[in-house]
Amino acid sequence: MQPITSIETARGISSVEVSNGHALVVVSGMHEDDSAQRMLDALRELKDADCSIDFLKISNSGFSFIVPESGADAAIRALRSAGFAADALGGRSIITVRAPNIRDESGLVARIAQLVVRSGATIEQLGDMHSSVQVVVETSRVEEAAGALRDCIGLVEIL
Amino acid sequence: MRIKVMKFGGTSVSDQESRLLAARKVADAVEAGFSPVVVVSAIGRAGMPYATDTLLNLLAEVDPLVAPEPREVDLMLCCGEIMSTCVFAQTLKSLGYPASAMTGGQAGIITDDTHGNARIVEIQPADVIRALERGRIPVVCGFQGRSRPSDDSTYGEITTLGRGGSDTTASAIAAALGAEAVEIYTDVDGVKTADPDFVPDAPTLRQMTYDEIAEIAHQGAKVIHPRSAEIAMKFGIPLFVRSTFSDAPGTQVVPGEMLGHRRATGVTHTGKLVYLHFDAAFGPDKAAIESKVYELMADYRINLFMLNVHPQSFGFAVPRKQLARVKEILDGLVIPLTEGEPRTYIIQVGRAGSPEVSAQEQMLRGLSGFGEIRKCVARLTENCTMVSLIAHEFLQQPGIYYRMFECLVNASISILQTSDSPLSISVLVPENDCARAVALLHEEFDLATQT
Repeated sequence: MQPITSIETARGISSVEVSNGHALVVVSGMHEDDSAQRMLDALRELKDADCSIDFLKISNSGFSFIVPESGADAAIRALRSAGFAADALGGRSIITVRAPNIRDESGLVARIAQLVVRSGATIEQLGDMHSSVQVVVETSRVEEAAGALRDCIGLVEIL
Repeated sequence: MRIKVMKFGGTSVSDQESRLLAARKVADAVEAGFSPVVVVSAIGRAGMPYATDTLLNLLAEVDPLVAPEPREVDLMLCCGEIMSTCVFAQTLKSLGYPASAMTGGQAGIITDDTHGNARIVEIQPADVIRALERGRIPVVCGFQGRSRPSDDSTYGEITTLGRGGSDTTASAIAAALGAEAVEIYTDVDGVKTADPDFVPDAPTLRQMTYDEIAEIAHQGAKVIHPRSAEIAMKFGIPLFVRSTFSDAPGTQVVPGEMLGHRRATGVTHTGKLVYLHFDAAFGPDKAAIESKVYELMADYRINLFMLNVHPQSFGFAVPRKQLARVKEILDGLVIPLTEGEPRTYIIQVGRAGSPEVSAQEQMLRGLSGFGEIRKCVARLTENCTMVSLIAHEFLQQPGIYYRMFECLVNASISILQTSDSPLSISVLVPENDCARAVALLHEEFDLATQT
């Protein structure tokens, strides 16, 4: 009987995909003492405007999130009409880095972040799931960042 | 031959009574016309005589100052599964079912040479098949394999597969044998929608997708290991999570397309985390500082959670058990930047400066060539935990974040940070509020009615 190979995906980065056409929305001007309630109010406005948001991150003075570029205007309109200071920055891309079993490969999330920053791109958001890491960067730098990550496909030594 | 792989975890083989119940499950499979292959974990959980942690402590106790080599650690750890395999095979024989105990290497599990976290690269299942053809039940050690022969080892080294390794063994053998199913037996009757310690009436999910079970494990639930689910998914093997101690149907894991509707699946929580928020007047230097910090976290294999970046700050959470290591690495770290005007950053972990930071600062100020000395303070938020909502094609609906925030904010639970992926939304909350947060989200997303 022939041995069975390719049972497990090799450790480290196994593929890198890029999705363009996203926008970063930054909501600012919130004060620490009432930021939780203000953020809740802002999220209600987005829900009522039927905006689906991803990569929500909380900052000292507000929060930010990612929407499809085509949905940025609606999000900004909803927020501004309710009195929130909000700006949209288009030209954002999401890099999906497939890396199996990422939680047990200690240091891999940090290495992916390092590779992206070292390529000259700025990480704007980052999320992870069991088999991948998603990184939001400016589209103008996405090829450098994705290239740096693709150079490491199959390289166990990155850990 | 209708092959089924049945894996029994530590609590299912911890004593004779439990082993008999497990062995009867195997006997039932034989009587139902299956040719079962059994995979077992070490006997019992932490503190028990042959449990993995107990064996590891035997080595550590020899001399706390001399760290055991990974090769010997793997050899030691394998003893637990080997004993368990022999005892289980003997239990099957006592019921009248011929059985053959096998190490991972004897079962043909070939791994890479990463001790402690090896990955399976090949399976040579000839001996397992031979045992089956002779009417014997192969009882295979979970969690272990053998590396390929090399210049350092003529016959290869014994390796272990890391956390959840026995689940991985079960799925891998099932893949190699073209098994009809993998059954993971444990002490609960399937995958619950939440930790029953926090939500006592959390129901058992009757069906969930491979991705969901892998994500639920990734986000902290102790069900099966994501590697096991990934292998089962890749080879299209039906996977079940069942109880050794009941006849409940358990949880069936199925491909995503079989559960086409959007739904929330469960709420999980991770262990204890500490959030580090790096703040300084970085200006254009932020990328260099960030890059150095990430590089060191990667080099020292620190697990980062909830990485969060802003124009003039960045942060991430680390497991509390790794905090001391993180402090060792970063506190007092000097990062000189030489492009343009020289300037030097010193990292300080925590609001109060340590003697290391003061000493570095004093020394650098007395030297020339380092330019302006700037401090980058990493503020610590201790005693946090991550609570995650796991969902299948559900999170892209407008208002999901609002619902999560509304139920937590209205209960006066602070949301310190958030993170999301296509399969989950996570919030970082104070550890004291973890149980309440899990219960509230479970109720908000109507998980008590999920099956």
